Amino acid sequence: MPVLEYSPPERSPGQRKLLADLTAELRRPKEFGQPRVVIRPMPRGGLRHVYVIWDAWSGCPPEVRGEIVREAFAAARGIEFEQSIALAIPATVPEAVEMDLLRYGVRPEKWGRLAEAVRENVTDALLEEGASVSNQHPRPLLRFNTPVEAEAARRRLEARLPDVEWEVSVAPPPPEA
Amino acid sequence: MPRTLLQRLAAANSIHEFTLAALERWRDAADLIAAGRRTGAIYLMGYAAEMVLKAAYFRHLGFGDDQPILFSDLAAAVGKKGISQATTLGSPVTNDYHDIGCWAALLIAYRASKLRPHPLPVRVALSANVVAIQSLWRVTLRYHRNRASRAEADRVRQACAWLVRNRTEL
Repeated sequence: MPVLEYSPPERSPGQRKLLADLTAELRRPKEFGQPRVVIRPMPRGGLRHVYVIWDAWSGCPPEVRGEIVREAFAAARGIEFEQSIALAIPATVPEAVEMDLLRYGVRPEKWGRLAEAVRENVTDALLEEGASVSNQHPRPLLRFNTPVEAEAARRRLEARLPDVEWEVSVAPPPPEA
Repeated sequence: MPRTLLQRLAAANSIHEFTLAALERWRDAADLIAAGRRTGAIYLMGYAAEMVLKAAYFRHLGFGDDQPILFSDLAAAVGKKGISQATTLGSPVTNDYHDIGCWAALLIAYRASKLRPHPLPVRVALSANVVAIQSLWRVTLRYHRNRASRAEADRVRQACAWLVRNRTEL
């Protein structure tokens, strides 16, 4: 009887780019924008939970995303750090919203009444802050995990576009599971 | 004025709450079996099993005993929406966070991924006992008239007893 042993499939160029970009981001984090990396230290066993919210994950299979996160952390922070990761959640913004990870939003008031040129500036500013645009959310969707992060983004946006009124919104909590 | 039952509930789920609730529901179920109310007993034992599995998983994830376990933590564990630990480990996913088969599979897959697999007899017993409970328990039991047989109640009782007894080894 033949014994067949398979190696894992090679990464595509797109997947290799995700790894390179995430590793670079972890080495030199930006103040805002995507990917948004949240590291949550846990009280037991020196473990950590890592969330990488990034629309670039779209189209990348979940099991490959998880490997990329671990490899990027191993490269940027060392193998011990990687081994302390008990949970790695690599999600796009819409996926993270569905999981109730991003309850706090920042948006301009009265989007519908903004002039076309202003709306373009608002869109650019939101995208730079890390907003997501998708078929599901055609308007830029800027969401955060905490009110503090949302308020910081609102202030930056207000400083950049002072004529636009910005608001922080809070999504209702999901029903108890 | 004394606080009502709902006001006395803990504000959030936690390992501690899951464990205490599992033991309470397990004892409630024992009383129901003794009183011949077998379907009610199975209904409660299913929840006891669910909470034992969730407590074990979140303990492995490093949660503190009283640290709140949120909806997003459940979604990040076995959820079908978005990306969960289960999807990255190739374990089954669900939108039904009462699905004890998914929680058991995740527990097994997670420990294996950390090169700390359950000892084989524990893994075999865990799977078998969860299948035994799952074959007779759904949260929807509560909506229907039913009368479980003595054999059915015994089967769930034995499986649930194993989970409760071995909860710290999972």
